Amino acid sequence: MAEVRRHRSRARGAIFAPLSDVGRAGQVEQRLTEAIRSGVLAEGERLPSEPELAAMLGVAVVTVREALIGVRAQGLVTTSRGRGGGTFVAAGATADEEALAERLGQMSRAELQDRSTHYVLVLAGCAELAAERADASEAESLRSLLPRDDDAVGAWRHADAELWLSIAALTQSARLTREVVRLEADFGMVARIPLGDPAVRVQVRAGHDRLIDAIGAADPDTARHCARTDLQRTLDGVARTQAELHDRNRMPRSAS
Amino acid sequence: MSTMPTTVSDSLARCALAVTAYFSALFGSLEVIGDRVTDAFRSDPGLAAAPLGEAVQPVAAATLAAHPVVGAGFVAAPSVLADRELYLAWWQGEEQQLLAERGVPIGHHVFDYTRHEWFQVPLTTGQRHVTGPYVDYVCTDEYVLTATVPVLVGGRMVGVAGADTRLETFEQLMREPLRHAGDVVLINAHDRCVVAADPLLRSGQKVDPTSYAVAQALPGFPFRVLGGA
Repeated sequence: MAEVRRHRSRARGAIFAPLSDVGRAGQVEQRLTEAIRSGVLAEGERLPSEPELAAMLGVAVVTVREALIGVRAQGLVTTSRGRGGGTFVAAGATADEEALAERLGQMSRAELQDRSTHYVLVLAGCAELAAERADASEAESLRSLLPRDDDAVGAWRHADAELWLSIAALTQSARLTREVVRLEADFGMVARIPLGDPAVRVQVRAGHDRLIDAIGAADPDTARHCARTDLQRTLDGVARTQAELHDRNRMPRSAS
Repeated sequence: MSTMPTTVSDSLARCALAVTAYFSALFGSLEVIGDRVTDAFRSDPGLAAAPLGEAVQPVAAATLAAHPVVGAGFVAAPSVLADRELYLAWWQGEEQQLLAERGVPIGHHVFDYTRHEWFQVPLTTGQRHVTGPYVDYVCTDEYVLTATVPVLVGGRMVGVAGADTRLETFEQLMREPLRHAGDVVLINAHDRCVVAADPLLRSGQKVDPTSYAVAQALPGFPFRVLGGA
């Protein structure tokens, strides 16, 4: 019985295999959309060529082409032909508060908790290793990345993202750094929603200082603890915002 | 295979020779890139990004072909080009892809490379430099050594010519010179291990030079070879 079922499901797998690439176009589109919305790909930046994207993402060139059609339709990229041509991130494509709220509202509570756990654990681990492996001058150079008080919220979020990427790089692990790049592209902007509130920015900024002090003091335990509690506090803010969004989204239906 | 070195100084010399040979050859190519850039600025003081890229491309390609590097090119200093604040005429990967042209808005932190050691050191000292090993999350996302030389036009630094060598590649080049080399270790200007004979000494790890009996500087390179702990 089990034998038969296994055989049947394998046959089904083969039949449906070509379709999985169609699904992948959606995944590629999602990945690029996130990277652009999160600001990991900057406005005006040229995307890698279609063959290169295909190689990087491990999909067929036609899949990339299909995904880019979707990204273009969203107005996130523009394409020009000829010499110096290519696909570029469109102006004004990075996240606005409304798009972020929509993304967060669509996410389930379980997904947010799962992503938050992953995000906090990886970044806190990076902070710990950075404190172990960086020297005082490297820790000090992190301060130059800190956002300024008068920075607009967008610049603030970028600065915060670059700070974490730099901390990841101080682990001296290319794999860990790439994982953080991926996490930032997938989830960074959502994790930074609370930074829209100036009072939260003040709090986060104080956390940055404590964290950099701990890295400079070569104190891995404190660095991990600071990173974990500060990130968790911000993510608790994200969870509360999400709950409000879920409530608000429910209202029109219950009213009718 | 080759004769086993018998003394610490033999091992040190073998290591020093291999490092110097590799980076001297690479710096030679980077000077060619730099000369090409200087010529381009001399013939057109209001140089724009596109013609600069065209001038650099053949020599960057030649550098990629001649050395086991993953990326090479020229990185402009802020405000030297007529139409860009910052610009990388940099090719990387097997397909020699031109790195994304960064249309960097002012005050946007993410891709401002000017604070990085590979840019800062040639800028402030006027000397060639090797940075790393470090994780280059701006360009390659790899653990690399970046060699850079300052490029001057009439005494003004217009940027750096450079090339990235993956640490893995360099480690392979150094495997033979470091064979049976006891505790010989190559360290950078920050006293961090670049490569070591000791398999437990991690690349990037801090090393205390005073705990070694012999330290040999490599003139013209930000490296020292240590041995005889």
